[in-house]
Amino acid sequence: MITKRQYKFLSFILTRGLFLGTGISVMLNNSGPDTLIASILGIILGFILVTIYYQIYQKKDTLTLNILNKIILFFLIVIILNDGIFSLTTLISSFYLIKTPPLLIASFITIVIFIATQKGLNTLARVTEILLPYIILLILIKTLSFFPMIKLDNFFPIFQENTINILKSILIMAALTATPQVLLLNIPKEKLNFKEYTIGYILGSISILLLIIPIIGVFGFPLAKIYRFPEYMILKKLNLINFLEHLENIFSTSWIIDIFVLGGVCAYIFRNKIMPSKNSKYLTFIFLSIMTILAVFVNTHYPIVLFLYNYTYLILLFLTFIYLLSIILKKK
Amino acid sequence: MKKIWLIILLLLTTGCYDFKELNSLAIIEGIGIDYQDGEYVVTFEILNDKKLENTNVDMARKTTLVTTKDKKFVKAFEDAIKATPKDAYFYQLKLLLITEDLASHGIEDIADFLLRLHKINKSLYMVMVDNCTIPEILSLDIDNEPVLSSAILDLISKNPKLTPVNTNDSFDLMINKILKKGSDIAIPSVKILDNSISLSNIKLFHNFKYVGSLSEKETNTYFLLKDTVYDIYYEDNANTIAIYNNKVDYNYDKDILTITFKANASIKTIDEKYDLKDRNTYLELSKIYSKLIKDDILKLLEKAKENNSDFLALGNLIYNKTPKDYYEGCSFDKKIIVKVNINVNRNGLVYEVIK
Repeated sequence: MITKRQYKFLSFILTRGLFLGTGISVMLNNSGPDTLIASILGIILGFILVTIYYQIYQKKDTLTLNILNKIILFFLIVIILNDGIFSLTTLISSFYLIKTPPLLIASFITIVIFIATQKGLNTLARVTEILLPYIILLILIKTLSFFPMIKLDNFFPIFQENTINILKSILIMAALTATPQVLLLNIPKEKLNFKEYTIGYILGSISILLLIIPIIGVFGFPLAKIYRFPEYMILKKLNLINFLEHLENIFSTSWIIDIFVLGGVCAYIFRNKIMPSKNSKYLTFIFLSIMTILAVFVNTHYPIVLFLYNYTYLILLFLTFIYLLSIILKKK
Repeated sequence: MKKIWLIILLLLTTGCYDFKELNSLAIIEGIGIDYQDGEYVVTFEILNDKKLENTNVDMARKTTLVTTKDKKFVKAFEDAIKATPKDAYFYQLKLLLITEDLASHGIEDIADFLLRLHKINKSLYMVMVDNCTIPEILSLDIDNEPVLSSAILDLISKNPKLTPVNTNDSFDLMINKILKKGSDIAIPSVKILDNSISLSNIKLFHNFKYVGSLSEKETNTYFLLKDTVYDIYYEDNANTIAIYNNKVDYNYDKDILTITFKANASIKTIDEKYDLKDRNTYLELSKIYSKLIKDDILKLLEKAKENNSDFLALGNLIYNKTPKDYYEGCSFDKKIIVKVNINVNRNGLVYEVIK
């Protein structure tokens, strides 16, 4: 069972985990300069979703799953884990280790996730607790460094985009921040009140906003829109005390940690909730191996990447919705 | 068993797969791109790490140049990479030099390629060369300046009369300015003067093409409007003032563009007819220079219209404020009101006029 504090930290990280590579870039392409407004509305919608999770957590037994729950949760985990491993592999093979084969990169990501699963949820939560101050420090330094570079002109004009596109961005924000939170329904934790349950989500969403604001404010919408990884490209502008440059690789380690924790939670749920058995260790290993191969396969087939790029949020929302429905309608 | 796994993991995960020795890298400090006779000419300035031992040669040149050409820019660039003696390393790249010929042809091809390429540092600065070729300027032999790309960048960033190069002037943000509606760019240029590098005029662009340049006076006025300046001199017959603490406000309302310019000024030289102890002297000088600067701003706006280059981004201001009023070149059609208020409030260390 994890403590309240560990739950808040896990919630914070899970809010951010899916944003790398698929969140900000998609929103910018949809809603342009209105991305900031769409993000704020998306956070509000996500908060409503998290409130629904809390109500279910209060009134239903979310730790015991029936077959239907397990099947839906399995698909949800596959989408989330594939997105996470794929995004991280693409980031690392595009910017850090250009000549290293993506399969090797993805393998090492999943090995660490597997080891984390073997150690148990308490260890994963403890590691998150230890690493969180480092992540928060990076966020604070980034935010303080970017704010002087922001030009207010870059946020205008507002409400020029099609309403449908703005709505899409709102749904993307809500889906990518709030749907991973549904995984936390399935982990044993201390009794939480509403504030303790939602604070991690709120702070995680604020950290995403603190990334979107400089991306639009420093780059401007036309440039931010054309970049595949604007959240990485903005880090190239970091220049501390006019002396320290090329810090993007250090500051992007926060995403690596986000995805490891997200992957760890997904693998834990697979091992302990979906396939709990005496052979769960080996089943988890096989599952993660398949996920590795799937992520690398997706990486090398761009039409699939484009499909996921445009529709991941819809799939996540749909699966989350039917999972919640299955929990609510579950017989005792 | 666990220790063995740990040792294996530690050995395999140190990130050495992509490891390169420093002396196997060709560190490229500057890139030059020209366009001659239908071909792109790409020049790399590469740091030379060769030690000259047991020679009497004073090793002033620390760089070598590699130049290639091709009808397609991508091919010329790739050929230049292949022609570098070692593994081309672009992460220290700070300068992009272009010529008037290339700029007149258009820089969209090079912008597309350079932004897409992951190995290029996007925070490089674009500078035009005036009245010379890129290999000529990069092969100059200047005392205490072994790397010409750094020398050019220092010239632009440390010149007190020129706005310091800041992060808002980097290549990617320049492209953003071009892509924005109602906004064009103006870039610095350099030339060879007396076997050394010197600043030349500001070059104007419309979309991705070079359209004209500003004179020295127009350049001063442009910097007054662009950013905070320190000591830009203004002369009027026997008087000279230095502008500081300038502030510009642009506003658009009901089809009228208003530019409000306020600045303080200190007296550098003054006609003997003035009495620096008389309050009216300062009022009169403020009035004279306010009118002078207003006339210069209006001439600058006229120049922008002549060259169809909205380098002050007035069109973008209109688009941000009232999108339905925007169309291509709208800022040149709107009525512009310029309000200038210069406050001459310092006279230096000497209170009397030396006659």
